[in-house]
Amino acid sequence: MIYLENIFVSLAVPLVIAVCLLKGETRRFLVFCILGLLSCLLSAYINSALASAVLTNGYASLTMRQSMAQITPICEEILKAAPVFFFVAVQRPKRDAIIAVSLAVALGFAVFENCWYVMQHGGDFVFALTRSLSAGVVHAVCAAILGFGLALTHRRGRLAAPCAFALLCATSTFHAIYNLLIAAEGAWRGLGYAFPLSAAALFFIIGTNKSIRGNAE
Amino acid sequence: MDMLKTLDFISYIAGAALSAAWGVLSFWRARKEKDGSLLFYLLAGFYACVFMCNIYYLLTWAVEDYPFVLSPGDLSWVGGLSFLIAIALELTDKWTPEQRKATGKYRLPALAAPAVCIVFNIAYIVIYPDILFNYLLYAVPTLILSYFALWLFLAERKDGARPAMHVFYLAVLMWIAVQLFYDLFSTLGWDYGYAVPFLICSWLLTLTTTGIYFAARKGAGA
Repeated sequence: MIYLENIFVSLAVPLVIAVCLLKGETRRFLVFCILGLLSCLLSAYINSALASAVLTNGYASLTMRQSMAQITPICEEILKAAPVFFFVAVQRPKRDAIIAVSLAVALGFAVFENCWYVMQHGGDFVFALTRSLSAGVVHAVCAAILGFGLALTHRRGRLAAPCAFALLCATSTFHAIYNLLIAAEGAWRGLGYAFPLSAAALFFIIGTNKSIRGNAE
Repeated sequence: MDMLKTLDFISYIAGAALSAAWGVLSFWRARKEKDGSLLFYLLAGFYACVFMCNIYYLLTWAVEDYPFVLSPGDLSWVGGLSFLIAIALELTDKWTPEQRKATGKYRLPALAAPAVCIVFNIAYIVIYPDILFNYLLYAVPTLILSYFALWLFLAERKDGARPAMHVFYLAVLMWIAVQLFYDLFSTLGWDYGYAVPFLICSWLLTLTTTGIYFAARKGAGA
């Protein structure tokens, strides 16, 4: 039996040592990677507790698959966003720092989650590759949406709170769409695997194409 | 009944397609404009939320069965409401202290909008109390947005710096009104003879969502 805590310790300890040795932005990036690992561990606890609570409390129509598609993304996105919101509220950082921190949390989260799933599936390479190119990319895209959105609005006073909430809602739904598709069978699952990569490609085109970027920079 | 369900399904497809189109146009405009670009970024966020809500419902329909009550799709809709609240706050940020003082007299009459929303929400809870959390999730941002929309509509119409923006707030108010009736007929139940008014509201919701883009464009261009 694989314990989540063991994976967490084996991933987090080298990072903690590196945090002690490094300084500046690299240290901050690693600290938020560790927070990403921690939020993944917490989400595993909370998801299982919520799923069992939902299934045993009279929601007869809600199957395990539906619970995975509906509860898990909301819980995971809240836990991933919490360190980023805290950082933005306390530090008043620059635009690039917010995006870096948001991606660092998502990176830590995705690494932990992928390790856990790959170990559960006996180290199957095809599964590992598919998982990395789908779930890993979903976390990165959600982090990019949150990071860019917060970077755009965090210095606008009263706007920051409704925008942060709206971004959290948007990322939760984006993640839920992916979960809904991969929980299905046949072509829908294939579409689910392609969905995050297509979204990432779209973000990449928007980010790198100067004619689309216009004068916003 | 099957034909009505097909029409409802098509309304979701139309809603997703149109919101995607207006979202891309809003994003494009935000990238090109220097002044007022945040307004269009927020509008793009609103349309992205509406798009994802429609897509989530369509996929739930296709993969599982009829859309679920209280799903991440609903959360996306609430996110859309929050983006509209952010737009209202962004537009009032540009007011001078004199304008703020002059428009203060419209704050009290604007409370009529959330009062109407509360009446509708009490009706939902009385008719179908099982999904109280869902109503509350929708009700809170709807109350805030309706208050801002009516206050700013009254204020911008007479004392605003950009009078053309009152069309935008009118579009938002119409969108909220249609949403209230949509929720009412959805609560009353598809199987109890309310399918046709529900379907009409579903299409009107798509139309008013489109109207918000054109109203914002007209207001920002004035």
